[in-house]
Amino acid sequence: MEQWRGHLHRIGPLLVLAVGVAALVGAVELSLGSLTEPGPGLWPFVAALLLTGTGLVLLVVDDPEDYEPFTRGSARIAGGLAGLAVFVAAFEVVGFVLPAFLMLLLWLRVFGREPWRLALGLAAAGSIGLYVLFDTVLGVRFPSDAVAGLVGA
Amino acid sequence: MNRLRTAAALAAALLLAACGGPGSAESADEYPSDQIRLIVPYTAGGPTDIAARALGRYMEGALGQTVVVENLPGASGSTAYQELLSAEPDGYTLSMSALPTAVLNYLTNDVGYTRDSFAPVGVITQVPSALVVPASSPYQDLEALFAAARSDPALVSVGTPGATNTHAAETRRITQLYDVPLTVVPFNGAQEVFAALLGGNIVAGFVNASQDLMPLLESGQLRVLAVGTEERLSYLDAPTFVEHGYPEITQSTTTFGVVAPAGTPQPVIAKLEETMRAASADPETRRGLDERYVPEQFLGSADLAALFAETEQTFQGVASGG
Amino acid sequence: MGVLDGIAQGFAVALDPVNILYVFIGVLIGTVIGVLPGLGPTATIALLLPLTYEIEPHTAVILLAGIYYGSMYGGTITSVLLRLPGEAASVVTTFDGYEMAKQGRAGPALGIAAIGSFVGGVLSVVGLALLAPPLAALAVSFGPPEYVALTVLGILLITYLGTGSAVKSLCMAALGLLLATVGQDPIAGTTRFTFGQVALFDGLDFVAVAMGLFGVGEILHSLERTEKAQAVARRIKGIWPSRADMRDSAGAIGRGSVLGFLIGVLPGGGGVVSSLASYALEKRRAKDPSRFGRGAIEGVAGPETANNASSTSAFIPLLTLGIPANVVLALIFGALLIHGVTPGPQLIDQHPEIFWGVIASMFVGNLMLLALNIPLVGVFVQILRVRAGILSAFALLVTMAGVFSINNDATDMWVVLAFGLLGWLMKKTGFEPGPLVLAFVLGPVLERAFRQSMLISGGSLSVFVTRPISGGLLAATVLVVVISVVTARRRARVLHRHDELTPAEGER
Repeated sequence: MEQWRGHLHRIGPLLVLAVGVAALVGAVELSLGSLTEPGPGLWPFVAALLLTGTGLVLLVVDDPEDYEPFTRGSARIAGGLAGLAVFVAAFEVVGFVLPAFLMLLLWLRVFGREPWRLALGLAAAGSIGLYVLFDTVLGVRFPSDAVAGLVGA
Repeated sequence: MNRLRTAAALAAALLLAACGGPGSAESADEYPSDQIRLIVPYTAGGPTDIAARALGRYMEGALGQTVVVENLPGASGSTAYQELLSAEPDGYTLSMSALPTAVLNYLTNDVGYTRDSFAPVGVITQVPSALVVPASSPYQDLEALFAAARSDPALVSVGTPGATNTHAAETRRITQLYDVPLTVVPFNGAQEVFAALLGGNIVAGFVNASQDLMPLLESGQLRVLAVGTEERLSYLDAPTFVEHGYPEITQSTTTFGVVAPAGTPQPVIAKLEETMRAASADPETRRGLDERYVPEQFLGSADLAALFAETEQTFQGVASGG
Repeated sequence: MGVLDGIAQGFAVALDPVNILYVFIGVLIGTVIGVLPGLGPTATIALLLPLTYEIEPHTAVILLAGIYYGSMYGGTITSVLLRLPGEAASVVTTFDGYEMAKQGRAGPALGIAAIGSFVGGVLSVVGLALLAPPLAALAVSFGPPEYVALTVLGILLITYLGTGSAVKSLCMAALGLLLATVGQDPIAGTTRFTFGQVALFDGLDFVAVAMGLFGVGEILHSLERTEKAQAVARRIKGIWPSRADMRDSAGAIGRGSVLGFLIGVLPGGGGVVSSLASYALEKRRAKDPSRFGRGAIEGVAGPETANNASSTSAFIPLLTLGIPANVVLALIFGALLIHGVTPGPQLIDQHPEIFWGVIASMFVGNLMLLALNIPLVGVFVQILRVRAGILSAFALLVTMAGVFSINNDATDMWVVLAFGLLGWLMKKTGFEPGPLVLAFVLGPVLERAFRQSMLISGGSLSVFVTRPISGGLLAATVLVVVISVVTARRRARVLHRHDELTPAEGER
């Protein structure tokens, strides 16, 4: 098991390599042209070459000390990201206030471990306050807001 | 407190939408019974935006409903057009449009719309283009420049404000139709073209004869060799390409108009067209639009549709860059 | 009109109570806008443009200019406190500024940034007043080949910036270059790596990428740690820069002013390159370069000074030639046009009150910025007292809303999310986001300039060496590389000899 863990960090350079190679292929497809008459693919090719090159070097010489271990805390990240994803998806449909309220509640209560009443209060004040700030004061055009519509604000 | 009115109208719109909204059964007399959304495909403060706001102000007065100007920049306008086409064709969502850019977009890439996706309403301003050189340039007129190009094909670089826009396409047409070897050098906006011209880094530039070019002409830092209109302009003393013997080079004028999604009922379009016609005759609106660019004769829905078709036909073969 | 007369007239205009009020309002609004991540000065100025119809032209420009450089400083605040860069120029500040905040030194960081910005701004204004026309002429002579040379130097500097392994920095820079190619090709218009999404035609938005990598990545990372660790890290040690801090930063501030002033004159130069150059210069000059990236105060003082100096000198092409260097200045240009004033060479003669009035008000504005922010540093630092969980939640929400406001497009929010994930992964694996972001900004400039050069010269590569400025810059670049390699070898040799002479601990 130890041997496995020892090499886990190589995933990083492997990912880099994968992206680099994919980009190399894509760049060639875009037509490279020549150095004095560059095509759309030339510059991405150069960048991808550099990426692949460094990826290869890192695969061999990387220092495992740079890496932090993945812990149980990492699972909370997945939760955080999922929450944000839901926020963006919902935002496009029902506007700002409701998803913002839910998101704030999630982060304050679950991740921030704030007591219920504080979390609810802050979430409500925050979502409404920020909505007023951005929509009314700064004139940013959020998607039509379900809550604002209900209240006739 | 425009914002509150806007928010209130928005709420009302939401409620109405929930109830089924103003449908196409509404007659032209009732339209508009709700606020109108005017999308601008470019950022706030630019010429399209200023024109939209001037027009919007007039429309509010004439139609008695709020006109909400919304900036949706991106993808040379395609983002805005996609938003327009996703809305109900009921006359409550309109968009500004710039030709030939709108057409060039779908000739070059798949952007989710074509000419038939729109119901043109009318033209509000037209900005012609000019071929300019720096004051220090040895070329006193168009013929001198073209002669130099013919004698040394790699010599004449023509800066354009974009890679696939009007000016780039039109320059390529000159090369295609008249065998004048001009190299298009795309820049990111007209400002960069001006800077490159002033520094002597490019030989010539093909840009809009808009408010940002005029000061440079007036101060003598740049000279116009030719303009891309059919007849000479009243506010710019320079010959046209046509005069010099290049009758095809008249497609570089940018036309700013208003479009609605295809399927918008004809009476609604007609009413909007009338409002636009009146707007372009209204002195205060004309001042806001910069009077020079308001066409002598108002161009309405049919004219704009014809322009779309003509633009498409002209640029079919050129649009694919390089 | 002589320079002294002009300055006198200028101050008469700038010290008019109405104009002072407008400077104050502008700087205040600008700072608030700068603090809100994602919301740049562009949106605000566009919103306020109709308002400016009503007021005098020079007052309008004074107001807009105030907003412009007020927002520069606002961006610094979030960079230091939350590792959220408001715009490209603030990215470099996050390297050492945020580290200082983690060490409880947020106050000194913000303080020295304010002082440095003031000095840089004032020196830049003086330079503007005295050297505007000749500098403008020099600036426009910078054509595509010169930009190639400049960005090559810039990208070289980037790889030198990281604290970790050079290979990793290079790797991230390469990734940044690649990510920047997403969108339409600048010369041919072909779409690259857009996977058919129209929303990606203009490429990935810089603000969304930077917010995601730095801010969201940092917040996600903090989710993993226990609460105790967070509380300790944010203990505050004093609100103002110490005398030692001031002494250490003096040189950086001086050098940053000159660097920023010169680079800012170039159209397209601006905040990023100047803050980058200043950071690299300071790191190079430092006796112990390894301090950089771990909270070296010169790493904040230099770039912030350069940044502010460059945003002031960016006015030079606008006022003397009528060429605005960026979107914000273009709006100011539009405002002037609306008032019937045409910026250009005749501005000094035809409308001296505008030219000199703007210059004088810049001085007043910088002073006001300093006066406004000195007391506020104490307030801003208290923000860190708020529990990390609450702070993170609100920072996330504001970031999302701010990023949306750039293009009114929810796609940008997804970009933030994606890069947030990437940023977290990078933190876990020891890759630095700095080189990625900076390469992301400079890469497209290099590609475009190179291809333009090829088009203009008809495919001849010699153009880069035959033109005096670009040739000179490239020679300087080669020199820098050679010197670096030589000194690195010399240092290694010294260390090696040192190891040989001093026996290792265990062997005594």
